[in-house]
This record gives sequence, C-alpha cells and structure tokens, in this order.
Amino acid sequence: MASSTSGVDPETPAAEPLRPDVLGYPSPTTARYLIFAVALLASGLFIGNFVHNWAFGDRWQATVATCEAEHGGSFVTSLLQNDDFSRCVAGAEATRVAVTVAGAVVVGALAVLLLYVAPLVVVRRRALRPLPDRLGDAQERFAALAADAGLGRRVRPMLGPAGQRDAFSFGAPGRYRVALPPAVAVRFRDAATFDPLVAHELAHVAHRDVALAWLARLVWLALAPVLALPIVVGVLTGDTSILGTYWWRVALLAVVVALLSSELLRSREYGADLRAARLPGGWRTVAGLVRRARSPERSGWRAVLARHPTTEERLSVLEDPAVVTRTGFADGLTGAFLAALTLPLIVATVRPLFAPVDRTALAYVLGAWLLGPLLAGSIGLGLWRAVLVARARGGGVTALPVALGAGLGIVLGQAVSLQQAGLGRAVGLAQPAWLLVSGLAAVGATLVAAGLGHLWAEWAPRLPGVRVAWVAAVLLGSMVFSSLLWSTTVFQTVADLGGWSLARAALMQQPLAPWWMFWLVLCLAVAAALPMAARPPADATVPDWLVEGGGRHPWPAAPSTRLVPALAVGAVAGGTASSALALFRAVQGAAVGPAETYARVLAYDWMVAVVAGTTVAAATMVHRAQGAGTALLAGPVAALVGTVGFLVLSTSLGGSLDWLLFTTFVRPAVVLGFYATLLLGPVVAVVSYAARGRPLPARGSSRLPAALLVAALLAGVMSAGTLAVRSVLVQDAAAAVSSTAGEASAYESEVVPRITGTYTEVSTLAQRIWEDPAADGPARAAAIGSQVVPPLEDLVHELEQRPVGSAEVARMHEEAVTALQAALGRYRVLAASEGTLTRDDVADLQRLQEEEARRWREWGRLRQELATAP
Amino acid sequence: MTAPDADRDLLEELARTVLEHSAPEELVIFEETSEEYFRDPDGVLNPARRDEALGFGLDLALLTPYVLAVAAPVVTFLLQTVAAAAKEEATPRVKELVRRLFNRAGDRSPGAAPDAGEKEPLALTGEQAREVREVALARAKDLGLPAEQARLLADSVVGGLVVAA
Repeated sequence: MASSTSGVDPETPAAEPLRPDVLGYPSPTTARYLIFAVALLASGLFIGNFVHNWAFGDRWQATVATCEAEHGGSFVTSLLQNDDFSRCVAGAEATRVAVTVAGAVVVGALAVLLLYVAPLVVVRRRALRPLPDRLGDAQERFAALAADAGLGRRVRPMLGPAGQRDAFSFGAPGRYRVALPPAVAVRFRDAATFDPLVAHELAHVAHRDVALAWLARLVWLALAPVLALPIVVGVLTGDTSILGTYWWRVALLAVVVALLSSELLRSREYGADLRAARLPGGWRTVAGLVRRARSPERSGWRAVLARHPTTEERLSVLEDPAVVTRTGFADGLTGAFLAALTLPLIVATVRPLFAPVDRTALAYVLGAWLLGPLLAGSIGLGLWRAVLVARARGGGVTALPVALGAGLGIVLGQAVSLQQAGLGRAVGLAQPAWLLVSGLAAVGATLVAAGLGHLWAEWAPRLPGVRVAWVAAVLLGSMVFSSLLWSTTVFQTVADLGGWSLARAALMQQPLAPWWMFWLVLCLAVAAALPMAARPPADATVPDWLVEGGGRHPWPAAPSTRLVPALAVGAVAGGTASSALALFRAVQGAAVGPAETYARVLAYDWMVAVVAGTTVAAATMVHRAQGAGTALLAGPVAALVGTVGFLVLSTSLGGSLDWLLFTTFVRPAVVLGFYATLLLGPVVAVVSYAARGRPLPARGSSRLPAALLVAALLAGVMSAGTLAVRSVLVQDAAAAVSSTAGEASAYESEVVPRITGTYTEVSTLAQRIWEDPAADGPARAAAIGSQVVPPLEDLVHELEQRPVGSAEVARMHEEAVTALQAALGRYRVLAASEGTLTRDDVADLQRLQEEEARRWREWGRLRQELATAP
Repeated sequence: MTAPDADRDLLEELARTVLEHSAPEELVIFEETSEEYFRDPDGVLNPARRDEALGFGLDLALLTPYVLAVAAPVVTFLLQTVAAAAKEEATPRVKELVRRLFNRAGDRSPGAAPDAGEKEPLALTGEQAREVREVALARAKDLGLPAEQARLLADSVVGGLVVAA
C-alpha cells in the first residue's frame, strides 16, 4: 500500500501537453460489431430450430418421450450427470442441431452474398462512375493518400452524381471504393478539403469499418425476412402459440439493431477523424473541415439514429483524443446485452454435440468462451484503454457506470433472448429473480476487469509495446467475462432445476466449482500480482507508444499497490477466518455423527470463500479503483490461508491429513471466493463511489495498518455471519432426512458425477493396460494393481464414509457402493493373477461382473424413481 | 421560369462564363453536370439529405447547378432586353447579340482589343446590370441559398457580363 511515486525530471520537461495515441489500441467498437454480428447470426439458429420443430417436431418428441420412459432423466438433468438419456436422444438431437445450424448458415451465406452484391447495387443506384481521365490529377492525389494510409491500390475513388454532397466508403472485402462528391473531386488541389476528406474515408477502410458496418447491416437484411417465418407460418397454419412470446422479441431486436447500428457508426467516426488527423496538417486541418460539416439533428429519434456525432463532439475528440476513450453506461449495456442475448441460443445448439461423450455441460463452457472474449474486447478493452490514458495524465476513471450498464445488459439480454420464446430452454428463466444474481455478478466482473486494468496501467512504462497492453486486456478480460457468463448461466439453470438447495450443492461441487475455474482464478491472481511486483522506476516516463508525436512526458505520481501489502491483506483475512473456525469449534464442541461433520466442513468451506470475497472491500477501501484488481490476489491468498487453517485445526483434533481433503476443501474455497468477490464488489464500489471525495493517505506506510485492520474486521464479521446462517448454505442432517427430494437432488449433483467420472476413468485405464501389446502378463497385472485399484479404493472409502439422510437415498447409495466394491474385486483379481487367469479367477470375475451389472441397474432404477417422485 | 425553359445553349454559355471567374475547377466536369441538371434540376439542386454511413458528414455542393439555375431567368431577361433595344425579332440574331454580352475573355486584360475575327462585345448599361443582379439575386434566394451566398452568386453572374464603364 505504499504509494508509487514517479519523479519528474526537471531538466527534460515535455514541450507540449500529453496527447495520447488512442489508435494503438483496437477500438472496443470492433468487438461490439462482432458480438452484434454473432448475435444476429445466432438469431438464425432460432429460426433453424423453428424449422426443425415444424418439419421434424413430432418425430423428435416421440424419440424424447421414448428415451425418458426407458432411461429417465431430461435435458436439464443431463447437465448435472452423465446419463443414458443423453445418449438415447443423441441421434434426434443431431438432426435438430443440423437443421438449427443450417438456419444460421443460411443467414450467414445470404449476408456474404449480399456483401458482394451490395456494392454493385450501390454503384448502380447512386450513379457512381470511375473518375474520368480529366480528373487524372485527382486520381493521383487519391492514390498518394491511400499509399500514405497503407492501403495501396486496394481502394479506388469513384465520382458521384452532381447531387452527391458527401463522400462515403463502401465495397466488398479487398475491393473498397470511396465515392467522392463532384464538388470535392474537382478541388483535389484544395489541401484543406480534399486531403482530410479522403484521409477520413481511407481511415474508415483501414479500420475495417466498411467491412464491419456492412456486415452487420447485411446480416440484419438477411435475417429480417427469415425472422418473419414463424409469424407467417403461425398465421397460415393457425398455430399462434409462440407468437405471443415471439413477435415482441423480434420487434425489440429490430429496434436494438437500428439503435446499435447508428451508435456504432457514430463511434467509428471519431477513429476516422483521428487517423485522418495524422496528415501533415495535423488535427487542425481535419477540424477545419469538420467545422464545415453538417451537424446532425440532436432531438428526438433522429438524434439516436444519427450516423455522425455532432460537430462539437467531433471537435472535442480531435482537440483531445482522450475524450474518445471515455466509456459509460451504454457501452456496458450494449456489449453485455448482446452477449446475454446470444449465449442461450448457442448453448441450446451445441449441447447435443456433447451428449454422445457425456459432456453436455461443455456446451455452457463453449458458449461462454466464445462470447467472453468478445465481451472482453467490448467492455474490458475499452476500460483498460480509458484507465491507461487517464493514468498517463495523472487522472482516474470510475468503472461503476460501465459496470452498471453491463449488469443491466446481462439481465435484459437473458430475459429477451429468442431462446426464451417458447421453443425450448437451455438456460433457466423459471425463476427470474435469479437474473439479479447474474446482473450483480456482471457488475462485479466489470469492476474486477477495470481493477486489473488499473493495476496494469501502473505497469505501462515497463511494457514493451501497445500490443502487449491490449493483448493482456483481451486475454485477462476473456478469463473474467467467460467465467462470468459460464457460471451465471449454469447457476441459473441449476437453480431453476432444484432451487437454492441444488444450487448451493452445485456451487460446492464440480458443476459450479470445477478445477479449470480453480486454475483460472489462480491465473488471475498471478496477473494481478505481476504489475505489483515489477513496478516502473521512480523516473519513468510515459511510454512512446502511448504518446502521439512522441515527446518526453514524466509518468505522473499516484498511489499504487505493492505486492507484500496485498498478500498481507489476504493472509490476515484468511488467518481471521481460521481463528473464527477454531473459536466456533471450541464453542460448539465436536460434531455428532458423520452427517454433522460433513455439514460443518461444508460450512467452513463457505466461510473461507466468503471471507476471501470480502478482501475486495478491504482492498477497495484502501486502493479505490485498484482494489477490485488487488482482490484477485488477496482473495485466493485468503482462501489458501483459510484452507491451511482448517487443515491444521482438523489435524490437531485428530483428523487425518491427506491431499484429497486439501483439494476437496481448497477448490470450492478459491472458486467460490472469486464468485463472492464478483457479488460483493458492486456493493463495495457503490460505497466507495459515495466516499470518492475523501482523500487517501499519501504514503503506503500509513495505509497498510488501516488495510489490515479493515481486512481483519470484515473477515471476522463475515465469518461470524456465514456460520450464523450456515443452515441456509448447507443442508444439515435433520433437514436432509425430512427432505428426500432435496437430498436426492443434491446427491445427483454431488455424488453421481464423482462416481461416474472416477468409474469411467479407471475402467478406461484398466482396459488400456490389459490390452497393451507392449506389456507382458505380470506387467499388466502390476499396472492394474498400482494404477487402477488405488483410486477405486479411495472412491469406495469416500462413499462409505459419506453421510446419507433418507432411507430412499441410502438404499440407492448402497447399490452404488456395492457395485463399486464388485468392480474393485474384479480388478484385485486381475492384479493378483500376475497375468495368467486360472479357472477360479475366471469364475470369480464372471460372478463379480454379474453382481456389478445387477447393482448398477438397480442404482439407475432407484435414481430414476427418486427423480420422478412427486 | 424553370431552367429547361430557357435557351440551353445560351444558358450553358453564360454559366461557363460565370464559372470561369468564380469556380474554374468545375469546368472540367461541366458537360456531365449540366446534363444531369437539365435531366432533373430539382434532384440536383435539392437532393435528399443523406446522413451517409461511413461518410464525413459534409454538405458540399457544386456551384455549377446553381449558376445554371440562376442563369435561366437572367438569359430570359437578356433576350427580352436585347430584343427590345435592337428592335430585332429574329431569334438567332437576338441570341447572337446576347452572346456578345458575355464576358468570355476572362483572361483578357481590361481595355485590351479583341482578337482578329472576334466580334466587338456589347455592354449592358449600369441600370441593366443592376436589373440583372436583382433577377439573379431573386432566383438565388428562391433556390434557398443563404443571403450571403445568394449575393455572391448574383455578383458572379453580373461579373460574367460586359457592363459599360
């Protein structure tokens, strides 16, 4: 918490005020364009699904009904467990996917076709023609400017009709055209008009604005008539069942497309102006021409549909490029809205692809990691750029408006997604209140991404180039936003399926706390630690790649975060949680029975996770904007310290210390700690925003004790609070007995994946070993004994120790344990055979195999009974 | 009076003369501009205001169509004036006389003698020149041009005619 002070070299002051080079970063609107196009293409998926239901719906339903009758389960339960149902419907689902994807492919193909046809239409309708030979000098000047822009011969000028008064760019990829108004074309020697105008249009081409804008426009043109299909079919067939939930979503989509298209076009104008300002005349030449531009109407609907900013807005950006980096509520809203709109459609489409390999949950991962990077490029990149530019001038940026926009966007996007329009559901919306959790987490994720941006901005003078800066922004932002999209979508689905009782179980287990999330959180912690550990020297200057026109500008002094204090905040919080745990144990005494022991372990895990999340409060109170980023390091540290504290206490009370216990405890502690950071971050940010006027202590030495005190106090309060409400977080033994259905749900999410996962792994491994042609009999037997038997023994031991409440669940559980014991017996026989099976061995294997198969069947039947019980 | 009603040859000639003084760079595309103008004068003078996607936001018009539009009533006025003054009713003869009012020698210094074979130009009186200016100004205002631009255009038109000193 020491301040990072950077000295100013008085002997080499900057000649001019810092004018940031904002074009080094890719524009966030590029990512927004891509999400826009993806969202529109994904809407084509919906139509494909509609066509499938229309053409093959009856056959598909019959297949699903048969599979449900034969195997139990459903599409939603297949998310939580690997089941026969998914495999049974795989064929029908493959057909559905093919037709659904065809919908998007048709829209995409039409859009691409239009992309190449549209320029021909533009030339014809707008009466454009090549520049005549008499304007050969204008052609040459244009070519020279194109060469300066790095575009060479890829762009050709065209002459508009006498009535054309503005230039514009258009064309197919690789064959771009700039249509010049005659009044400009004939004045090619007028450097105050021709040059900035042409340079502006060439900048549109260089920034890929032409391709992006036309793609978005044409995808919509291709999609719009296709979207009318369900309405037409409904009217013609008299089946209007889906229209009530459909038509207004389509209308809303049309409104969003119109608003967003204009907003994106307006945003791109700033970049084109700034690139044109690199002409020899500088920004003042472009500003001179902008002053002659027609300012769009700024009232009513015309204002929101205007394709150009006002003259005043353009001039303010030309005078100070930092203005264009400002991000606000609308930026967060649009990006998040489009991502949330699209995710359910993608998940519903790709989910069947994973059914044959029992990994339907991967559909959520895939969808989230497709859209997460786009969200990172849209929201995260914009924030990082704004933070960096502001930091280079000694200022700051508040991310709260963007974050609130992102939160609202996630809520609205999920609510209005076409996937919710009555054609099946992959993402839960049965309990809309859970959307608020998603929204809150989106606010937190945006704040965390901005916090990381603040930390990395401190590191800017050490970064070798702008590419490293923006690649880091996209990469780290992708990790934050992909995990956000994935976790909130899965959480909502699980909560819909089994309410809070199932959701809390999923949070503790693989469905919402998988190992990849654990490692992702640790990667983010490292990313937060790097800039703290290697800060720039005191006499650092603003990096050249951030300054337009160069010049030596001292890196402004500002408080920053150091590694050791950040680690200390986490350690103190984790230590406090450990102390609270010990105190609780001393007051409550030993748990009575395995059920209560298990419940307490889960409660401890929750407590450590919540405390890890509270580090965002301590970090933000001290570091303000950097706090949310600092918490990415302090949180996992707190979780690790809390885990160690738990193990120490457990061991000191006579428990066994093993790796399995550590990993079982630390994984949810770290992952849930991250979620807690996302959910607590917004609350802390609002409080911090309210207190924004209060000055911070100047030096780190005086801030460290305050930070540690805040961390300890909050950790203590939250530990006590978590333990006080543990019955909400963990189902106790008595409640489990009284709620068979709830326990069965929890069993499905917690135990079944563990059983099927381990069993599948060891079976595959055993088969590979036994069929290994390179090994002889004794070697195979030894390998079975050393590699297959131990994990299966661990699993059986774990399941035998697991507390079970209701008689129905206990009976089902017993079948699984017996089946696994039979499997274990088989592998022990193989291991003891030294590769040569006797007649007795064969008889034993056959008996055990039959026993195992019988037990598995009974286990499946009992699970089905419980799943379908009222 | 609309532009196509005027004598097109005279009108184009006067427009060229005016442009030689006021916007010579536009002469390079004069033929096609004039062609478009006479095909659809309103479409050229009052095109639909477009907020072009990926445009600049400019509203830069050629001067040529406005000169042609303003030249129409001016030519009509000149034809009537010359016909009355010369008591001449033969149209070709009147047109020839009007043509001699055009200040075509933009690059000829004032007072210099015309080239051999070139007919001596006629000249408008000061009063006639003021009337021409008023006709041009009224038309320019009718076209919706701002007052300052309308005045400049009217002055340019008068500048394209020979006025007695």
